[in-house]
Amino acid sequence: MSSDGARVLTDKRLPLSLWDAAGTENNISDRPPTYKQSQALILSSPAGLLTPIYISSSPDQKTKKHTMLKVGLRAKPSSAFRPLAVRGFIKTIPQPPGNIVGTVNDAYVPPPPHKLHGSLHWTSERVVAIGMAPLIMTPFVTGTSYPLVDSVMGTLLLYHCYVGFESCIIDYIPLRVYGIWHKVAIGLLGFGTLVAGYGVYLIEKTEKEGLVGVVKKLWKA
Amino acid sequence: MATQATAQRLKTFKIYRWSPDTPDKKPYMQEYKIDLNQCGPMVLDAIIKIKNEQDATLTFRRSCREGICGSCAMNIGGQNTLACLCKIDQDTSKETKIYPLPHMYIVRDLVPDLTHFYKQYKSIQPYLQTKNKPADGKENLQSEEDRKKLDGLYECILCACCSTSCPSYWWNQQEYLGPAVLMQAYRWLVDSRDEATKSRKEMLQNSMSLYRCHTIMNCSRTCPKGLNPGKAIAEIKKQLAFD
Repeated sequence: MSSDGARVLTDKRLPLSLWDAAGTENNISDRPPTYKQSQALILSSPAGLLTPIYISSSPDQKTKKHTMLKVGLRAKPSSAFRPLAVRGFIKTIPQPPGNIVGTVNDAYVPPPPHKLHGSLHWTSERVVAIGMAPLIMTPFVTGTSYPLVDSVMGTLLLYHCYVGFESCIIDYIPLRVYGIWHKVAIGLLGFGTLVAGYGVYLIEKTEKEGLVGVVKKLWKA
Repeated sequence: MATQATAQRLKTFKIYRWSPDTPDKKPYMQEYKIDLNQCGPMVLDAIIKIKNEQDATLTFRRSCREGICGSCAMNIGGQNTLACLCKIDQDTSKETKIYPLPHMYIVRDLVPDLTHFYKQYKSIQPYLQTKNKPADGKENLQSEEDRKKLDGLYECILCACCSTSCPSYWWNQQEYLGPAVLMQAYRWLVDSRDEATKSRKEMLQNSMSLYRCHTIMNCSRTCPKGLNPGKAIAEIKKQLAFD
């Protein structure tokens, strides 16, 4: 059914049911289409004509179905055919009516699986957050005489802030609506994190008491 | 039945109205007064009474009137719940406001469009998947302990109260599955008979489908059936954590 390679969920799936394993053809419609199929499917279905269809204007595009006409949550409509959904100067990508991609009987298609965006991301987020708790408490007990503890804390804090803001961006500047602006926001965040990382490095290098010392100064000033 | 002689206890209901027949007209709140002495105890009784006696155009879904079908999910007094399980506030000095489920496309009045919600439910493949036929060729057996794991999960009636109370679902419902669907995903993940665990987990391995849950916990607070979708989502995250 699919030719989309290993990224596609349906390829690796177990037989859908006993009947399916036995080879009886009766639940093709039960199979959720893959990410790309869901886009191609819209083209073949009459109901799809009701959803907005964007025609790519670039001439070099061959007869590949899913590149000719793009509909889908993360498809990029050509700006020439985009309705004037202008919020300020930021153009947002129009969403399908009722959030319905494909026909009403097609299942929702999740974004392609990627553990770095899934479980690994979540686990590292939690491990860092939990790991920071004792590191924050340590200077209260031992004082500021352990620069290694301080620099580890600085690094973890940086990651913690990065992940927190990244989550805000995914929530409020989602790729499917803001397209390029989502990437701009993530890029800015990455740039800011790098600059802040250099700042942490400078503080650790030049300040006598490191990051904790800087915070301490707030009380003295 | 209360005797006809008792005085009227008029309660004001303000109900969200919008009709696709008059798309130019903005949604508005219409006021209805109901005599509580002549009305059943639940909000559903009141809106049925309004539809029967005052305004036949008032539109809402209802079926079982006993909290088992999930049709009459709506936002009553600021909380998503089933109209049939929600008692009318007997304080007649206060009005009760009834809205459709928040942040959904509205078909008419109190009827939200749940198509996308059902599409999401379909995507988690809510049915048993096994590699081999059961040994006796008839039943997929399960120990009592394994069966107990499904308690608190299988009771969900998919009324969408929890999903539509979730701010994360409001912002990203196109891609985030929402508490109701994720709880059902967990129901099939913990089922000892199901053998598609790997693909079920893989489906959630992205930033949107599952991990848009920020443990806001509105879902568990609002569930009219007293279930705990928040906990089920946490259990999925735990299962996936070192996957």
